[in-house]
Amino acid sequence: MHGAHLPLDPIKEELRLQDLLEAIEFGNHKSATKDGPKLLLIFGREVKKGWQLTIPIFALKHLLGAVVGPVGIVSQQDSIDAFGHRLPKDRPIHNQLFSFGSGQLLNNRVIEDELTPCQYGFALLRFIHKIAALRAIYPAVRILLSKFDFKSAYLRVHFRAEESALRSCITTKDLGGIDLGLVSLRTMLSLPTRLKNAAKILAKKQIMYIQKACAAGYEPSKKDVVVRDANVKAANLFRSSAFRRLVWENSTFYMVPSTYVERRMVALCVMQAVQRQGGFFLELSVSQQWCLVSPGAVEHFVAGVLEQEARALGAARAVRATQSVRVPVKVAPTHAQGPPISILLQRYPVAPSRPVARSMKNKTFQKEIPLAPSPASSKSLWQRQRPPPPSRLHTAS
Amino acid sequence: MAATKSAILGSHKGRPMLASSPAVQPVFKFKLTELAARTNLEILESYNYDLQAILLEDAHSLLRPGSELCPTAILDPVLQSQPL
Repeated sequence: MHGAHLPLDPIKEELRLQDLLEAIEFGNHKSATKDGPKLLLIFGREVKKGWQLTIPIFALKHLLGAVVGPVGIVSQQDSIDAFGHRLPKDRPIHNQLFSFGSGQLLNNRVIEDELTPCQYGFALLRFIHKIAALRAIYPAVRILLSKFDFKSAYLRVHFRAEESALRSCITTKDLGGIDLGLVSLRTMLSLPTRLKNAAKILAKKQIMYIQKACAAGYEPSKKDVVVRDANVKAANLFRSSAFRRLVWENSTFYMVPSTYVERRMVALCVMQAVQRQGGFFLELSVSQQWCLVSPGAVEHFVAGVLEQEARALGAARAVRATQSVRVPVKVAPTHAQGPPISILLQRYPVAPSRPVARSMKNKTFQKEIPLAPSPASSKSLWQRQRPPPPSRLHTAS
Repeated sequence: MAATKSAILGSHKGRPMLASSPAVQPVFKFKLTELAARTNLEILESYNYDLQAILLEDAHSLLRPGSELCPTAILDPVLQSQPL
């Protein structure tokens, strides 16, 4: 048995039909009528994907159990385009809290005890620990976190056919186009289904990235294939010497703070450099045949390789610096009970300037420089003219 | 080089799908137009507005609940060593 199940308290057929006719007469919210073309564009996409079924408005009253709710539109968090620009994003809402004559709202009729319990995992906790560990290793490097929107990237789950296909219907009344009725055939993914689909997407991406090749003017072979496998150590990732040298030359751009557009441009340069030499980015399909990879996937792959290489180089540098200049620091009494703290100084600390001894020997400056120390300070002249400690202190723990 | 390119492109087009079963086009028209709405209304009328019967009629239809899921066997190459 498949399909999303929404358990509802029963409602009298006369009341449901009365509410449905009132909802059709009411139409949609003002926010929807103001941005009618935008909503029609969104609904057009949903219809094209098979999430909504178009029928004439008058046919809604013939469907058993149909409930119509007014539509509105709200602005949500900004989106981002391929070049890193922020874009405003709007989201349509089906208002099932709007009360009509019977007063029995759809959301209030939901039997919560029969709903599938929502179980959260430990992904967020693991991400926080990962971020804390990365920040300890890389104090000044920007930490990037990718997010996959499985709901938009993949499919919605069907409603259960015998009961829920008609729960939430909407109309396109007063939106600036043809007045139609839309029957929801699919809804957002329930948690078990979402996990299955997420795993499926992950599997497709892993399959795509597990075996890719960069071949320059010759038939791909195992020797020249660039393999990216989680089980292979970093030293054995890039077997093609030309590609490895190209990655090493361009990975320095990923070691400095840079914008998304700059890193994308570097990845594009690497990709174009390979293609100028007659090389291809290939992947091994399920049927064990080499096939071309889309430019977007190639760019993503190259960016990942560059970031991985830069991370490896940065980690090696950090280890060398840590082993060279790590000094213990005296802890204040208030923090004495905490763990020991060590601060990583700069690798090449600036030596304090020493103009004092020479100028004191020079007779021409004897009148300008007081020989006796100032009574306000008991420190020596060298201590008073010593520059402040370097401001960039790296905390190693 | 040309032969390699054509061989590569040919293999790319002929890549097998991961879907479990061949999907059948749905009977409804999924367009935001009045003509599509009329067509869908005619189909509903022929089934006496029984949407459930239409959705469950064809086992391989894209409209059938469960058609969006795939067998978990496709995850074996990647997730068979995962502890979770």
